[in-house]
Amino acid sequence: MSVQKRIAIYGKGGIGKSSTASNVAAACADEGYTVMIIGCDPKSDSSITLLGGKRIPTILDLLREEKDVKEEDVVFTGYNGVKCVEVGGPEPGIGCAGRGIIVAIQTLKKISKTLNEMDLIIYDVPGDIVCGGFVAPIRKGLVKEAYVLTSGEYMPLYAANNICRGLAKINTPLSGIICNSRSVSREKEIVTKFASGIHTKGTDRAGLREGRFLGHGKSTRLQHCTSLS
Amino acid sequence: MDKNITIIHPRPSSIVASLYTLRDLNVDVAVLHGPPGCSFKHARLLEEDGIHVVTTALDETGFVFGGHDALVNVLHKVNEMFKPKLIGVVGTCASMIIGEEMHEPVMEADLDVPVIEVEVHAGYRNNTKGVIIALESALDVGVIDKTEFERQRALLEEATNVELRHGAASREYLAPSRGDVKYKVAQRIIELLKEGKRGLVIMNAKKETGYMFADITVAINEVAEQLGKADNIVNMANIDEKLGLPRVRHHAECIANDLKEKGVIIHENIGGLDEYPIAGNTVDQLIKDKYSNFDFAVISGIPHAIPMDHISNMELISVTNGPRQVLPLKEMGHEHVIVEIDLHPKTLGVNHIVESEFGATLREVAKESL
Repeated sequence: MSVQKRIAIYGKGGIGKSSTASNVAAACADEGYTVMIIGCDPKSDSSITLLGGKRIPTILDLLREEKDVKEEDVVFTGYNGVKCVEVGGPEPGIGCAGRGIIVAIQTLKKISKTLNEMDLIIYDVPGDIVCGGFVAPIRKGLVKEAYVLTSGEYMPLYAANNICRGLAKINTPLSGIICNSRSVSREKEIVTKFASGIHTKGTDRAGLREGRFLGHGKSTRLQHCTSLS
Repeated sequence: MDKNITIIHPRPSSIVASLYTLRDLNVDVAVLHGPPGCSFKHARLLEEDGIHVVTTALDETGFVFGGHDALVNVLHKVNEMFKPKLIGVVGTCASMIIGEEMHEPVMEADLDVPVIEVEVHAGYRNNTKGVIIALESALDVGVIDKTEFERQRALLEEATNVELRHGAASREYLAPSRGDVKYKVAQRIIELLKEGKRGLVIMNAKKETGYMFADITVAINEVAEQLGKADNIVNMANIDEKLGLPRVRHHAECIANDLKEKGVIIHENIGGLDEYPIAGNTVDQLIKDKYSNFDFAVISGIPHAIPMDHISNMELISVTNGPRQVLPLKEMGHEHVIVEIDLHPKTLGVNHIVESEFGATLREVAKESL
């Protein structure tokens, strides 16, 4: 088995992290890799498209019911064998979603054998890094590198910049900026400039399919996928 | 004095300060909204003082999903179990950090009892903040009036200043100390009395701690009487029965009654039992006006709140219950500093003066030397 690739995808809420994560998971599964996607959003819909629109029980839901959580209760198989997990969490404005991620990740680490057998694990982390819980997958040593999703608009770029600062603070390698195009004028140029400004690479979602990074023209499908082989 | 130092020795927290304030407001039940075990030691002590302290016992699930329901349930439970007339709800670090809101669950519980909501955590630099938050909430529900609130706030500000100047908040780290040997200090007091020296016995106690510090006043008066030197002693104490929150006034009344019964005359009543931060100024003025030629002073309670201006020429003996107070008092110029260890637990839940270790030592040493 190749060295396991463990990545986290960050970005402003609503920018398309879940659909990007799901598509990358699906694409990698199509190429024969074993993939797990772990949704860390309390909305628990990161993997919904891979599961044909079905919702699955979340780790925190089961912990709340004081059940003895087992792997089969929370790890579900979706499109082309992609393993899907949802952390879950509280209603907006109640409790602490950040703490929820920490508790759920610790539980998953303890109960899941599948976690160790995957070629690629993708953590889909919600919104901005507003507290320690949102970097728990990194801090707990479960994630080795991060990608940040943005568009060429001001607010997503602003959030992306904050996230990159947070990641730098905890010495997490930033593997690249992914541009989810919103058809803003000069979007490619803006995001490329932002990426080079923070000394990383950029790609767009078309680029993910075409396999090239903005401004670098690398003929790779996706950096993390290529390095799996 | 650097007000921005980070104090690294252990100190009581704002949560604990809130709990004690609720006790002084005579709540029947205090609900700690947070993890089990938070403020356990003081919660346990307060039970000895007659109030019920319970917890919503938030666990990991509570932290993640909030403790709204847990608080509503506990409020119903305590109302049924203890039939309280007044309830306090106190925040903790965990519940405040996750943004718990207390008012909504209190409204939902819909009890026929006033509830003082104290949204407090332990992260305040000065723990008196916990008292102020509790009093603000007590004012909101009409348990105290505006005048008493303002009086308390002024006292607390001064209490904070006293601690910053010469107390446990005066430096980054203070090592605990047991102070001087009580036996030797007792011998010295007897020696001074035998020599015909004139002494001031000043009790400047903080609330219920007065039950034990008053025993030192009693012991010195007993010994002076036995030596035929009773006239050489002047007693001062902060036991004004008309000042303070209900429970504090009750303590002053109990201590005053006991002193009277034991035949101890308090020549100068220097304020209420909660006025320890400001009573020092009254003492200073009295000494300046009437007692500046006295030879020694025994100061118990919060001795560091007494200004040194007019006592620096006297031999000073201080009695504290703070092991971290020894060094600052020595540095102020107090020659003998003794510590009544574990004073506080012994003064909770009592209505009469409690024997102090130093008082007992003094009485025994006096027997030998008479």
